[in-house]
Amino acid sequence: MSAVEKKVQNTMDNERASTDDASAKSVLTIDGAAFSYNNRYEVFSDLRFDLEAGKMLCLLGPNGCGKTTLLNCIAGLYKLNSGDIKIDDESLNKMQPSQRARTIGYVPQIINATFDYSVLDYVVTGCAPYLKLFARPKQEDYDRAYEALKQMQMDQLAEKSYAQISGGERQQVSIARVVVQRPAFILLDEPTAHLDFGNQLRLLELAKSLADEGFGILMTTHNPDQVLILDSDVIIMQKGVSSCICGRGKELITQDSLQNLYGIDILLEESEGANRNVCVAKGL
Amino acid sequence: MGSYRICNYLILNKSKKEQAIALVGQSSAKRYRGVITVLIVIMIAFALIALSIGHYSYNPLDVLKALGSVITGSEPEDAGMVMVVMNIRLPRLIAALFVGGALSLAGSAYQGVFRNPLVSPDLLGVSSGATVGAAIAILLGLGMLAQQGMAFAVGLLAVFISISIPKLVRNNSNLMLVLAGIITSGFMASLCSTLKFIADEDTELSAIVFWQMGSLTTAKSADLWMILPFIVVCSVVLIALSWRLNILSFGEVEAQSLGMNVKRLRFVIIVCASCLTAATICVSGTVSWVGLVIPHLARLLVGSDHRFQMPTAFVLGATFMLFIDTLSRTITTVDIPLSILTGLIGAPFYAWLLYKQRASNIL
Repeated sequence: MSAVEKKVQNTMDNERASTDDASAKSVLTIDGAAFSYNNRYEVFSDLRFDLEAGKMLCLLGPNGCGKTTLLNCIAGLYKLNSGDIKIDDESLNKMQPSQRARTIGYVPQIINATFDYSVLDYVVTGCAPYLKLFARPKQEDYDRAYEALKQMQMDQLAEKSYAQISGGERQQVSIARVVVQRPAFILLDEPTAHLDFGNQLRLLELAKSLADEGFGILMTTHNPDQVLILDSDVIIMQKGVSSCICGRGKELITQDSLQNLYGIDILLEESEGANRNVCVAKGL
Repeated sequence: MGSYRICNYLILNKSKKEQAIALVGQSSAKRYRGVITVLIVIMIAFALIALSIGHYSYNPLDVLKALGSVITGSEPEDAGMVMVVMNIRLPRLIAALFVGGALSLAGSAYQGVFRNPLVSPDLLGVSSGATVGAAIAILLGLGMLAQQGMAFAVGLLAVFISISIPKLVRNNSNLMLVLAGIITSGFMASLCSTLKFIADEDTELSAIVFWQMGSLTTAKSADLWMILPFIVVCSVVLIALSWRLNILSFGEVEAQSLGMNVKRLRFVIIVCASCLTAATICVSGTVSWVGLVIPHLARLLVGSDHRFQMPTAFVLGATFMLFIDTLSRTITTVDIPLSILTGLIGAPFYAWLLYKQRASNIL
């Protein structure tokens, strides 16, 4: 992972050089966010939490509690009904789309491309927020994209077609693109969905290394165990509850809270081998 | 010794890799340059043949000489030939090139925006609208110019109706836009049937029907000067936006998270592509299949990247249209309507393309 870290360090350095003085770390603030579909189906109405650049935050909650909706709001795809989302006290609403994209990168769940592009052509689109409307990526942009792939040990995929690589590879390629986009904050929507067990852990490792090198990471997950593996902060959203709870994963994830959240029996046991608490289900 | 060799190999290998980085992202561009050069050469050859054959057939070399004499302003050897080539065949040739190129470019743009390779440029009703416009002009007994103007205006009106419907129902998805297109096309088709029904059978009805089948018989240089600005401006804008269109074809969420104003970009691309289509319809009437098939063929040749696919589609479409139009005026003594030939040739060709694409997984 050191290679990735070095790469990320480079991008962060570039970012610091290119944008305003980043002596203080950026903070993403969700301030009383409320959203409802068609002004009728209220998903959440009073979310409040902060995310500092360089930190990792997992979003936990049952299906339909509004995790993806929240990410879509932060990414600017949906408009909040009330409340505000701010970066260092600057409201995201007031930003131009391209400026927003330079601040927040979004990796939605795996997409299926209609047309066929090479992996490199896909990754290079991360430069889009930095290019003028009629401009096209230049050699240096391609080099940057290739570098991002190389540092993630995926350079052998560069010329392959995006349609023909596996789901796990696509997820990594999407992350390579968001690294090329070099925002301060990265939103990952269920990055481990559709991945095999090994790839899930590799992806968590990658996400953590991105956070270690200065990106603020906000990721949704369906597996509370991942929060414990990452030893990160967590936000717990409950269905039908307008606000959320946030804090250290270790402290908030308890047997009671999980049973309450998912409505089933879950055991939380200490594992000496793993040196952490583990979530396990009872045999059926 | 052994380790030395491995070391040496690694160094060599590394330098090869460095080279690879320098060339990264260039392989498809290289392929594109090769393909487009060949296509342009083919197009020029076709153009020369098209200028040479017809009611009066000439030796292509003589035609070249005659063209040269016109350019240099010297006295031509055969004044009759210069008359036929310059005043009759050349305007028609240029019309064919631009109609085919514009339709193919518009088709590529539509397919990219709607992320669907089955889309043709009349998806939002521009053709059926233009037909209604032309039919109204025919029924009112207006002249050629009014007929073209009406076709253009009502064609674009149909597209604006299609674009407005999703806004009225407050659903801005692509699917809603497609449905709006179906609604508008259906409505315009019925309007057209109504006009045909009340038209005079011998004169007006046949005029409408022939107009719908498309033809370049009446293409004159005056028409060309009218539509050329539209075609050039819209084509340049579309090709300039081609990299953005790549991103748009990933889907709305991706495009928006990369900081693009999706709604505005989609609007601009749709308007440009519709203007292109409407402008061609003014000159040739409705021509089917070209806007659907040629973008596919271009994709097969240079890949899906719109930066390469769009110019390729333009050149391919231009050549294809020229081929069709030359056939239409040379197989028999009367001009065969274009849509008959584009359908007869285009449909089986499309089936063959799909067969070819089955293996390469590009769709």
